[in-house]
Amino acid sequence: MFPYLNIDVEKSIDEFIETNKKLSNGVKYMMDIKDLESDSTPKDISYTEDKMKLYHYKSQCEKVSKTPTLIVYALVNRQYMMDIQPDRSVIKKLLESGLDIYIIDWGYPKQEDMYLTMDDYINGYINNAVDHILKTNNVDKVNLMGICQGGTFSSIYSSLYPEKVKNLVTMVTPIDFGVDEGLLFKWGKHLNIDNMVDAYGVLPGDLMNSGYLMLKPFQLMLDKYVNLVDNIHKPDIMTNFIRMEKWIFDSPGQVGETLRQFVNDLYKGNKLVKGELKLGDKEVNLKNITMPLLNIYAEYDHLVPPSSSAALNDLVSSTDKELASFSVGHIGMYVSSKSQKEIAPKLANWLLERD
Amino acid sequence: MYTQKHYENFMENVFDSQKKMFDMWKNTVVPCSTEKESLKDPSFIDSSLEMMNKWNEVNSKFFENIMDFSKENPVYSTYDKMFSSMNSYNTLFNMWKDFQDKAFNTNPFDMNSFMDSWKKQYFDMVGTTFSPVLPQKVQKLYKDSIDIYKSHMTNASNLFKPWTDNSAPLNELYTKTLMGDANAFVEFTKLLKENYESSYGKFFDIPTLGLNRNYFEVNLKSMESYINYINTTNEFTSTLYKVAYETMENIISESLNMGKENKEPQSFREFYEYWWRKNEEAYNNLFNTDDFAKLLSHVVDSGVNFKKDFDNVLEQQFSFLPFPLKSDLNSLYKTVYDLKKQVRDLSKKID
Repeated sequence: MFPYLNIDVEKSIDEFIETNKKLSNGVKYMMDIKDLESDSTPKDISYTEDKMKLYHYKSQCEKVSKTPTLIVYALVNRQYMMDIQPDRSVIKKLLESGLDIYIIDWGYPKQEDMYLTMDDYINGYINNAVDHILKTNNVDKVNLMGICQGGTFSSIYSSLYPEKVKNLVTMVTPIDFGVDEGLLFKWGKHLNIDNMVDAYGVLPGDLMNSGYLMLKPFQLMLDKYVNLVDNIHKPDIMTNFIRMEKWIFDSPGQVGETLRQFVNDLYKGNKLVKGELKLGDKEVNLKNITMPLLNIYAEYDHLVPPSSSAALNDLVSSTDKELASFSVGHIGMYVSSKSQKEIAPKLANWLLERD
Repeated sequence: MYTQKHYENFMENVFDSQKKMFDMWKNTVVPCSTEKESLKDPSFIDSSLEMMNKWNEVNSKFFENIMDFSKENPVYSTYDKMFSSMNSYNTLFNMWKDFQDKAFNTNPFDMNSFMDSWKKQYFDMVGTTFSPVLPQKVQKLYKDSIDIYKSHMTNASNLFKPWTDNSAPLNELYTKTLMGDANAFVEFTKLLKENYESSYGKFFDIPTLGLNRNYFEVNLKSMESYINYINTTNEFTSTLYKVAYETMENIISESLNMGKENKEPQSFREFYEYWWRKNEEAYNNLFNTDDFAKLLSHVVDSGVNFKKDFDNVLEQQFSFLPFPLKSDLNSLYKTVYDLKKQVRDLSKKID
């Protein structure tokens, strides 16, 4: 069978038979799996504008922080990754720690949204959401927690409206796009995004997903599913896997004009770091960020290179600033066991200390 | 009418021609016939051929002279055609001989210049062979047609030039590809793409005319985009295959070495783990190169171009139907977007 290898043929045949047995029985197990809903932590819609919804989570402890925290998620994928399942919900953990949490759901943009710009998202939707929270809670400032691209938006927002932000938390956030690491950064520099935006208006989520899968083709398109067979008889693991799978491919389209500016000005021009970025008639200067900053990156992030995230701390004027990292990947930051045991507590404590 | 002068000229020509023919025969055939080996000597063939040509020439002249007084005479035209045919036959022989000489005696063999000269001779031969057979009034049309055909052939030749120029490297790369050379496969697809772009690809950019000009141009552009997309995808795929092939070779080689050190995978599952990780690593190395980033960008770009051009074709096809098209809606979306922005700005000012 393998003339050039001393493979134990008997062992290999046993493995093969065992795998096929699991696979054939797997149908039975799969039929029993309940597709538990993600995004199940109780919340209310607090504000809406176009397709954007601002949710306010119901408090889960008696003592709640004075300063509300607004979570700004990326436009890529859906915000319920932070509430992926009841026993691994970062949101739930933060609520239990005493934070008052709001989160923006960007919705699923359609062709009619194709002309929305970064200016509309940051000076428009985020600013309006912040104003709504300030007014509703009768406070002057909010905590802003930005995730991935949402962290970039939050950093820009904090530099434009420092008077409205008490504390800034950025997680797995791309800031310095000039770093020579990361495939997305390398590919993004050569991408003719203008042509893509002109052709699609709103870029299909599946198109974006195929790009992400290419970053680790064998792991993400093959091995992930091969290994699944080993666990097919374990309902808990399978349920979690299916939920994650559902989230991964629940990819909203990307608004063309916003993506055009994000790629051209940031991936290609690295204007945020150079201090050359403009949103509408406003110039963005990260030096305007003076509030306390907690910047967290994932040590095994294959989407946002740690060095790109880490750069933020040197670009802001904040005196109270911390750079933290965890030995997880980009998504592991929110769904791994560490997210419950280490990361969520770190977030809550850091914010509560500065409440 | 026959005259005395015609008769005298005729007799002079007969004697003169016979004398010339005899001299020629004496000068050419006689010296060569002294040695049997001379038959294999190319100079003998040349001199014999020359003699034949001259003989033909003399006789043509002879008959031309004697029939000069009766051009309309069918006898004259029969002889004229006969000698024209003979001339064509000789021309063909010359071409064949030229081919023999160049193909087997010239090193390196310059195929292009040979083809050019062969083509010219061929046209000349065809022209001189068939043209006289036709009625005189039609001969101009025939000659002009040949000129047009020559021009067409020149254009066709230019069109095929990239393919003829690259036929040798293409064959070589294709053979190497069949022998499992992954680099050759990549180069082969690149060369195919380049050839296409400098030959057939240009067809799609030809401006069109008339009432349906726009319709044809949009269709041609869409076809061109599709072919460009396929070509670019082929190049992309061959680049991926190359890595797969090289990685498999490395895996086999490494496995053999591991076997020597007793470190090889102990089961198929272990081998599978080792296999996919090696592949992932190899692809990661490829993906991290600037060349790949550019190639990926080209693939995406060519796909997007095709989508745009095909969308245009569809829009054109459906423009007669009573429903709004994508471009109509985009225009509407822009208007709504601008209006909403204005309303928000005004609302803020009021607040």
